[in-house]
Amino acid sequence: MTLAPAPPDTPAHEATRTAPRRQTIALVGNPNAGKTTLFNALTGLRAKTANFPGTTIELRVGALRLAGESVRLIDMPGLYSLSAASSEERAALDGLLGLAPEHPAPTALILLLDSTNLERNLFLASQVLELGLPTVIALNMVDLAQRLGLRIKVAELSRELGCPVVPVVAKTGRGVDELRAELERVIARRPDAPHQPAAERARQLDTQSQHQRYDWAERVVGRCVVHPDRQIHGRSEAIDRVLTHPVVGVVAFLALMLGVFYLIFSLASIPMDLIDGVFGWLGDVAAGLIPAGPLQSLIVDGMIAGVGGVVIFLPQICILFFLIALLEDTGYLARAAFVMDRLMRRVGLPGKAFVPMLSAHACAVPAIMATKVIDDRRDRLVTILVLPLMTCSARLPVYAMVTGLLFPTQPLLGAAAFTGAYSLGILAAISMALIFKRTILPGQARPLVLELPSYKMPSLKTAFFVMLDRGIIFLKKAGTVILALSIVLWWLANFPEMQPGDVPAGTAAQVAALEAQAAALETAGQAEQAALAADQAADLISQQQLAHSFLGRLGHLIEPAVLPMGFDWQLGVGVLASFAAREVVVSTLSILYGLGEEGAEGAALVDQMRAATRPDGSLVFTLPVCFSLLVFYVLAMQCFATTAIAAREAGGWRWALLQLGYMTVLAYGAATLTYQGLTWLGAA
Amino acid sequence: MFTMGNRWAPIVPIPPPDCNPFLMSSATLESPGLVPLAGLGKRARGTIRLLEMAGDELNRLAGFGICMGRTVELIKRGDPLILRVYGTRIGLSARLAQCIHVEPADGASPDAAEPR
Repeated sequence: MTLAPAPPDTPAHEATRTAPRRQTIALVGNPNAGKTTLFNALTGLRAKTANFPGTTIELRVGALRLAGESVRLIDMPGLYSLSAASSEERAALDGLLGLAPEHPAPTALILLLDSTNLERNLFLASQVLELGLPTVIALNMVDLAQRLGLRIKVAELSRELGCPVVPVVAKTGRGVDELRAELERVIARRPDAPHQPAAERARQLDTQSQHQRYDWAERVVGRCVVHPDRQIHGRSEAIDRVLTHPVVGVVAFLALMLGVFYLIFSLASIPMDLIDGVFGWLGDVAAGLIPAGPLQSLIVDGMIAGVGGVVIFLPQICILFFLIALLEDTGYLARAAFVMDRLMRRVGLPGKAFVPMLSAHACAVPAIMATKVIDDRRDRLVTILVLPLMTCSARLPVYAMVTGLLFPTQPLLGAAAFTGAYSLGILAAISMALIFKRTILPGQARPLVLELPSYKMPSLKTAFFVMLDRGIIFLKKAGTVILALSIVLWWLANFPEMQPGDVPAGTAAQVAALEAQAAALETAGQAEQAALAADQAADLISQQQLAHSFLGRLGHLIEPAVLPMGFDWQLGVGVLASFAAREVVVSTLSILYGLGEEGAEGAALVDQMRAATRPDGSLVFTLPVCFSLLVFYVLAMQCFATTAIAAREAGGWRWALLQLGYMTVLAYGAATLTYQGLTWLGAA
Repeated sequence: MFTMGNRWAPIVPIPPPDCNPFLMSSATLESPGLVPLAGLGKRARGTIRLLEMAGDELNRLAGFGICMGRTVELIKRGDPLILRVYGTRIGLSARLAQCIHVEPADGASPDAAEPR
């Protein structure tokens, strides 16, 4: 096999070089070869994460200073082989490696090789070197190779591969300066004629048969590496005897995930309270600065409260990502996928879908972002589609409200209803996965092939960066959509403004009586009770305002549609309002039942709701209605943050809208069935 | 696509994604001594001589070092099973392992081979 020689060293080119375009270096290598660590060591904190245009392939882009010039460094997804890429990966690779005519080729490549596993890494190297791009090889983990007794002849290897080879230890930063120096040399001798398009070379990729590449790799290793007499199999194998056991491994995994969830819920409560406090304070400050009126209401009730209601989930998302990144860095997640694969395949999904499925019980947003690890696009899409059926933490206030309504004095039955709701979500997800796998995304789960890398100490720094990246994506994607939706919902709930003439006579009299009572109490010196009466009057007015608003009218408009589920127009309004975030239904109902926004905090709401009657005098929240409401909120896709993220990760709004559509239909159908069924049973 | 220098080389068909039982039996009959990978004894080594799968899967496995002519060691049986390939351990679903045929290394007993 012939490998491309490095471009000739022609200093003359340097003088004539005009580089209006920023130079780009791409970092290529096997997964688990330490790519991310090397990337961080080279670029520091200045990395951004973005999808390659038109794909869901995620790239990290950072800046690297070389010879006084700022160069873009692109961290490509970890690859075992260029020819094994999916069509989507193919598009990204072609763009990045200069194989597509519309994208310029990178100035140079850093090819990262794991020195403890050179034969397999050289397989990818044989394909990458054929691209003919200026390449510097970073030979990572030379310290570990030494400990394993491997002696690598670096000069010999450089000669064999036809490009500079720099031994590095990315974790400690050893050799990184030498790597920079080598890159500077390669960039300096960049010929100023555009790089020979690598396209025809790319066509050769598949002409060399794979076993010939390995034959070559073995020959190179035979010449350049002295192996120890005896091979050492580290501790990893002993640990794996336990962690990949079909029974013990599953139990260990579930125990670990239980610990992760405990940490999420216990650690997140502190920053969540803090965020709640900060947004409350921001609202107060804004209310103090802006004179009362529509603008104040828009900013305080619309924007600040709306965004605050979603940002409050940021701590959970961050902690979940931090912990998953730590677990991934240890190498454990590969074992989790390994032990869960057999169970998950019965549902038609790969083992790698299990960690996202569990994460969705905290929040669907990080869970959907975590589906990136799933190799097969169809498997990944099915997983994304069913993830929001799992009970996330935003549903808990709704579950608590409904179980409070149903079983105020029977905690055991309440717990059973809670468990039932969780189980219904899981069951629905499994069923829908099976249905999707048999209809629009047919096929069995792609059979498992995955590397079980050696266990290692995780890097807190790497995990921190992952967390930061994900948190920013969540804020950008979800935050903007939620802000827009919050403003729309605020407008719907506050306009048209109620004029004095719009208030029904009965309510007006009630308000007037309360206000008179407040005034009387005030003069009698009973300030506390006076404030109480005034609050009641204000709550009555906001109740009327909401009923009068577009949102209230929409509620009346859709009442015939929600009637089969046993909902009245107030519940209809609650359902509409909770499209921004599910838990909003609780505060909306609180306003609609005349308790003001504060009413949602206490038991007062549940009492009030239990006493609520329809115009004909019958109770609103009968047992069938409560169960129907519970079923609806288990299954409905009422979270715009999730929709925004699903569109990003699935690669288009098409899938996100399909998800919104099927979940709404499912929730509507199941809630109707529940209500009608229970009513029929009750009547029978 | 293959040079003929290797005596095992010309037999990589492009069958449907799953093992074709007909192809498997005929190929095994043609090359006696071959054992499906999952049939290797524990800790036994074997050299891959035949992969019955579509090009996509061949490409994917090759990236992991599971490729014609490579020697692998079966570390853990079961589904999925664990192989050692070039010093790394690879988890592999039994469904794929069924479609990979190896020539057991010296000392490994081929008695686990499927009955004729």
